[in-house]
Amino acid sequence: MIWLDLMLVGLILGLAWRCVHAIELMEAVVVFVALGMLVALAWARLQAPDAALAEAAIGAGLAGALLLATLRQLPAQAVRPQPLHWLWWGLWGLFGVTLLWAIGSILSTPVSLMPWVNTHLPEAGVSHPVTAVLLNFRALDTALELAVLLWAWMAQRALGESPDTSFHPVQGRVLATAVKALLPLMGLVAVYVLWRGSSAPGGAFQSGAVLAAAWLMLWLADLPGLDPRRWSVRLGWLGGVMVFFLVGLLGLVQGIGFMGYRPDQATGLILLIESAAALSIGLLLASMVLASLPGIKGRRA
Amino acid sequence: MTALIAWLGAGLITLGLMFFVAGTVGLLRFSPSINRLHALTKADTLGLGLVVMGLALQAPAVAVALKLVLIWSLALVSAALVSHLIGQSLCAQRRDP
Repeated sequence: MIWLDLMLVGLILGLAWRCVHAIELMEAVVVFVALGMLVALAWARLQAPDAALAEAAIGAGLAGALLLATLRQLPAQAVRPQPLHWLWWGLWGLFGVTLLWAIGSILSTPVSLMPWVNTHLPEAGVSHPVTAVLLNFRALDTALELAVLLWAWMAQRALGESPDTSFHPVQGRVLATAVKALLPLMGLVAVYVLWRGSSAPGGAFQSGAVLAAAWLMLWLADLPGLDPRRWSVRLGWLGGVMVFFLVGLLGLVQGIGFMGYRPDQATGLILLIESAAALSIGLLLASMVLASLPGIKGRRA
Repeated sequence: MTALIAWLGAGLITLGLMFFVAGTVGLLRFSPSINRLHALTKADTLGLGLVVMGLALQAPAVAVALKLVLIWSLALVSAALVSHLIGQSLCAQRRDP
């Protein structure tokens, strides 16, 4: 197995180098998506299936779609590689050495928080340790992650004009029929992944990525989807963060402190947060990709 | 009997991997995109199908084997869909340069 792992590490490093050094942006994007899939494999080998699922769905899938959509709007030009000034080499070299030193000092003092997590797991409200950490013990970090996603979307909205290029609609009914057939399955998978998150790998981010993919497919097939001008959609963007912070305030009112849950209410509260977060993440990720896609020629408004 | 099934599974997986290698070589070597698509579908359909069949033979339970077949059928649908879309895009490019 060690040879497979070494091969994986070699491939990841090689692809990362290729991604940075690609002259054509298209090549860089394709290599980036392949890199994401390999990093997901690496997470799986490190026995972190939660991170592997999120990396494959968001890091490789949706980020790849976002990059490809953005690429279509850029003027066709290759990045001309320019020789770096020696000062930059020195600066980044120093940064690399510092990073290596930092990693070395981490390895020399291994501290596992797992016993601590396991002793408090019965009062966490969920039985999967990763979900317990993400949504109970370190809930503020997850709430801030959601806020960062919301912030990124707001920034994109503020920056982005709708692109004026357009492409031909797909002929025939193959895409629309396939999307109609696949949508119920995708909804089922999204709910299942969310529900499973309390006792096994899965959760809001993975479920949200599936929802985002479903919405994107609806849009691409020119089927009636969710219109971003509707108030329910706009509320959905904010919903995850708002529910998270309201639940956090509830803990403050009950005297447990911000983002603290009473053990007997923890399961319900975590499920509530996760459902709202999954919907928000799905809407936000899909909106980000949709906003950077060109319009379809002659489609109905 | 179990040994025979294990060997049969390994054989099917090896055969499937050969289709994957052939499909990858075709994807890299062929030049027009339609031909590349043709090479890719061999890996997607036959290659994955054979690998799934080999894995299903070695699966510990029938439920696991059925899940593997489900994965294969989903991959089949998405492969057909993606090929169709790429083909349409190529036709559209040919129509208006």
